[in-house]
Amino acid sequence: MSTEFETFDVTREIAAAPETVYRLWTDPELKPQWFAWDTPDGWHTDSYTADLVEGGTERAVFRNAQASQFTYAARLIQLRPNARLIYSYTMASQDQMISASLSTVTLAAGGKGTRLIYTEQIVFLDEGDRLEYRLAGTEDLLNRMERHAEAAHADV
Amino acid sequence: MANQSHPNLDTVFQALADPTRRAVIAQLGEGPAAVKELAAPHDMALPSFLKHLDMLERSGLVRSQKTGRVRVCTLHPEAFQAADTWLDQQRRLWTARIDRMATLAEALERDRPERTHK
Repeated sequence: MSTEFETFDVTREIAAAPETVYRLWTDPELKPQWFAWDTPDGWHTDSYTADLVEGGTERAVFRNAQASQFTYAARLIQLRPNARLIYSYTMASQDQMISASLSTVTLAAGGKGTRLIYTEQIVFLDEGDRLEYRLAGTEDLLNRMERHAEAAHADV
Repeated sequence: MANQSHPNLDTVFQALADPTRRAVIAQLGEGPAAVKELAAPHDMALPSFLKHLDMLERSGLVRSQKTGRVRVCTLHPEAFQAADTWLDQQRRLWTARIDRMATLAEALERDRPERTHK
């Protein structure tokens, strides 16, 4: 059994008032337009339902570029209009929990309109961070290594 | 510590682009080994060998730990997956989502009826 922690954040200055940005996170019509949206690198949403109020839940089924299916389940912990959202969520694949996260979104008037900081504290459960990774012995390892080395060489 | 499991792919490629370092990785594929054992098959001075080891450690493929007077190295092949760990996928996913969210917010803001805000 393994447990690993990580934190990552995404910061954006947005040319819109905090009230407008906040609506994008809490309006049931607006949120899916970016959250349950097909991303350029292949994430697709199979289903999305939400009750975007404090204590409410949000559920989605996503598929990544490798067509693996993931169930997203969130619970909204705190919604401070135009200022802060805190929610927790889990990601599971084939009923196995991959990760559990605490996400904090802060909005502040500033810059060209709003400065948004999305911070996610994430804990990976049972090798969840190596989902695609299966070590099939040294031979496989050496094959991968050769391929990487050739790719590295070709890049020079 | 956790950051070492998400190395830069460039350093992984760099680490693999040398026969000595590939031999070390192959040897570590059999199990952890002391620096001395790893250096033995290579016809070079220890400081030169240690430079190779250092590069492998920076790539995240190899980690070492001192036990008494002996430094033992272990292979961490998950660094091969540096380009596509779950964390990297989530980070990319969130960056794309927030880009899209920002675009929508800005479009919405432009459509808002005229109002004054500083």
